[in-house]
Amino acid sequence: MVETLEWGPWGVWAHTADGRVYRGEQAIVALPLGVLRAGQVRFVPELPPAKQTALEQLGLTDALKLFFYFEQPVLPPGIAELYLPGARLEEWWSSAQGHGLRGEVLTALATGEKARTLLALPEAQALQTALETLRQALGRPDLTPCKARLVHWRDDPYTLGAYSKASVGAARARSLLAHPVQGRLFFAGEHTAPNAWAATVHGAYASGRRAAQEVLQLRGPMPPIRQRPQTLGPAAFAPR
Amino acid sequence: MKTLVIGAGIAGLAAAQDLRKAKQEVVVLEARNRVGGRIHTDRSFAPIPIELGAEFIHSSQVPTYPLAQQFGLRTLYYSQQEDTLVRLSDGSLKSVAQGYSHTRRADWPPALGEESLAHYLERHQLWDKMPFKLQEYISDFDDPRYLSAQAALEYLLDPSAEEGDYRILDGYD
Repeated sequence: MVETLEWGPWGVWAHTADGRVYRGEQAIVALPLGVLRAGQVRFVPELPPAKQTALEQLGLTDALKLFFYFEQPVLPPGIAELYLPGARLEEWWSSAQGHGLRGEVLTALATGEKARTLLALPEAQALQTALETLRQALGRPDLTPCKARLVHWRDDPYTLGAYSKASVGAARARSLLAHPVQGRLFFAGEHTAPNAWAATVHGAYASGRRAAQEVLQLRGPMPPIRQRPQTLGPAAFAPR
Repeated sequence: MKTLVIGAGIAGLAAAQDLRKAKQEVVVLEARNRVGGRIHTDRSFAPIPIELGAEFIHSSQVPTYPLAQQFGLRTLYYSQQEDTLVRLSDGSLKSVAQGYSHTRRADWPPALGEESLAHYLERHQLWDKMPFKLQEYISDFDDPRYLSAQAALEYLLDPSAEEGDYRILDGYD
């Protein structure tokens, strides 16, 4: 894990937790927003104030995914998603379709206050709450999964949050976070994508390619490697 | 010329790949014992893979769609129209195609400065005219009182908000 990133006109040095030092002419910082916000990596010198403000303004979504494995079908034929506005779990979808599975695997997503409320409960109780929502929506009080699990990214030390969110006041924050700093630090990740593509894999992917282009435009591509002549005898200077 | 890429999620990997193609020296540093970051497929929970993080390719309009095609990955399309049930205020379930009569891409007025999405919807009395994709945006992020209207509109007007989603059947990783 990179603990400290020193940067300056001379290049960048990344110091890892196990004491190793990696040196480069520049760095592409492709760390999650949660890790940057928490100050897990110390920048020496610190990032410019505009970047730090943008990091604070851009929100981080609390998101929770719940998985239910049923041995029987659950959704009506032809249905793959269920949307329950205002419910404790609003978004449900099948993660099993297209596999020819006899049973069903449903995934539910909760964000914001709803996610935090569920995360405050013991896991079994959170899963039970979600199941009740599903039973009620479908009018099937008998529905019982053979397996259930929940996952979130808030406490994962290498992520510290699910994905970025454009809070009020942060419409330009992602664009600010994408800007390179003094030709040494370049930035990639879903939180540096344009608002229309942020918080997604395609946004992250495109941001990485953008950062690579920024490096190449600044430094220019390496000249092609020339083969050193094998011998320095007359053959090496033979006319073409 | 050497570039350090810090983080081997898809952003870092995409950057490293392009730099390598341009014959640059690259070192990728990753804290975990796996690559992929928030793309993380689990194959132990059920007989089919589940996605602990990212799950969908959001429309055919985004660069990861041709990438999946290029690698021959099997995908399943979720139209979010006939295949999606939405609960109406009376408790009944209707498909999005039936329950939302309006088009997804609305010709909506611009946001004013840094107003919230809730404020914007209130000001223009658009609460009942929300396309499904905006409902989904709200559910995916937070209460509209806390979301930037400007950013939400930038998403809504993007071609990626005009279609449903694709799921990679054999796992995102």
